[in-house]
Amino acid sequence: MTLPQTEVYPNAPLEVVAFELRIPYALSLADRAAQAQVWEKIKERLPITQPQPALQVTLGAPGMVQSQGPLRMSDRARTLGVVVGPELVSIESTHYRCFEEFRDFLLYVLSAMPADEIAGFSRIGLRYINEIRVPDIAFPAQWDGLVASYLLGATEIPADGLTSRRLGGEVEYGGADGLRVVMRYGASAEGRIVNAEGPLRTPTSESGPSFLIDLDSYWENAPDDDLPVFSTEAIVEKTSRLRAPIHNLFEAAITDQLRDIFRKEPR
Amino acid sequence: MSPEGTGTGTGMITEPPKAPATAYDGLARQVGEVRDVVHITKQDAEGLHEQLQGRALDSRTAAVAQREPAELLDDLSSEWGLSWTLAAKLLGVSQTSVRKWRRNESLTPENRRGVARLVAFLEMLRSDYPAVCDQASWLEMRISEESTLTPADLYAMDRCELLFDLAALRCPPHEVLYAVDPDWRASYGVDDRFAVVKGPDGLPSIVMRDNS
Repeated sequence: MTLPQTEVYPNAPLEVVAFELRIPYALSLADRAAQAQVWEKIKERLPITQPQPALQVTLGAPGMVQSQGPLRMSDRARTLGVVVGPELVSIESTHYRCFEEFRDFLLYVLSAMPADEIAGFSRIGLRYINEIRVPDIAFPAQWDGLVASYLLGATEIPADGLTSRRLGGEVEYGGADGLRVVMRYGASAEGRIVNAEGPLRTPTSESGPSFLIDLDSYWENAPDDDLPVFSTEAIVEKTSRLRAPIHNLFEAAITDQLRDIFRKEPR
Repeated sequence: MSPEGTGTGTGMITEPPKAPATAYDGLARQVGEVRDVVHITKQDAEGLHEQLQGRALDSRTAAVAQREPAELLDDLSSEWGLSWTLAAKLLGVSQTSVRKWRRNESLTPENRRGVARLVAFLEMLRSDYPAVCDQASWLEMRISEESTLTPADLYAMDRCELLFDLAALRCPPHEVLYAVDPDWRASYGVDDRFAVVKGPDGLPSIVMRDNS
């Protein structure tokens, strides 16, 4: 196991980390038997399987469905999930400890794929969703001192004595080689982005006031570029590059006061 | 934001304002694509069908054209039940011409082909569209209550493909009329100010309708 390179908060507000690899339609992953062959290689860590519900269009005679949906696999704790389908490979963790561990798991899953039968990859996404909850905070302006002040700028707009009830924003950053990061942030009185009743168990099921820091870092194959060959090493390398801005943006979005909460207070 | 964020399709990440719309949008887009494919395929099939029917008629005409023209003219009357008035209309010639041809006066090659084509058309109508009984009277019936156009008019306009569609009930009458002339109501609409009645001499005559 590789040691983490960045600080690991004992009480991090991370609800889920999702990795998603989009691939051109692969016949070798289209049916259940083919997906089961992948599962055979990783079932030691992901013994539970279930069909992943997907939108399907039925054409032709009744009962004829064009394709089977993806297959979901998960560990016994239901905190680690993998979805394999003809157009995607997805990994989700609701018990994320550090990137190095996640990267090792990614390598483990990708090694089980029929690489020779997948034409390439068109998109890699790595997304961290943090839902920060601190007791006694109800309104956006109360996050002052906990999250970076520039995220709360709009709450300072005079509104004739009215109090801001909800705050939200989205920024997209672009870099070299098609790398982009979408940062979505905001304060809300209720609701969750991460589905507490979804296929995986989430760290919390609270839905009270929270501050969202949702960081979606992705790379997309430019329309004019050739499709890169499916290569485990290349995918892991790109994913590692996607991780760096996520860490930096998250750290820039919070204050030391909040860091102390993540370090000390139990959730 | 990217059209679909990372991990949005697996059920773990819900984005309330977008998720339901995205699901329907995706489905609507897929069904729309199916409709487009169906529409394009329909147009292709229609074009191909029209082309093949034209070739079938040509091929049958070539075979029929080998027979004696006078014999074919006799067939139009005896076998197919066409009046000479109707035959002349379908052939696009005067009744006098038809009378001359029946007396074995020579036809121009183009007219001989026209006669053969009419017989071939009637044969196709009988063999491929058996639901159409008594082809002669069918040709003279109005296509719609709202128009004066008959199948015989369409034949004279060289619109056999529409006649085949009409005979097969592939096309409703109004669609056929619009295909002939988008302004068919003005060009071929029934003028309800007049009516045909039997006159005192027993012959049909046109009179103004009494709308009082």
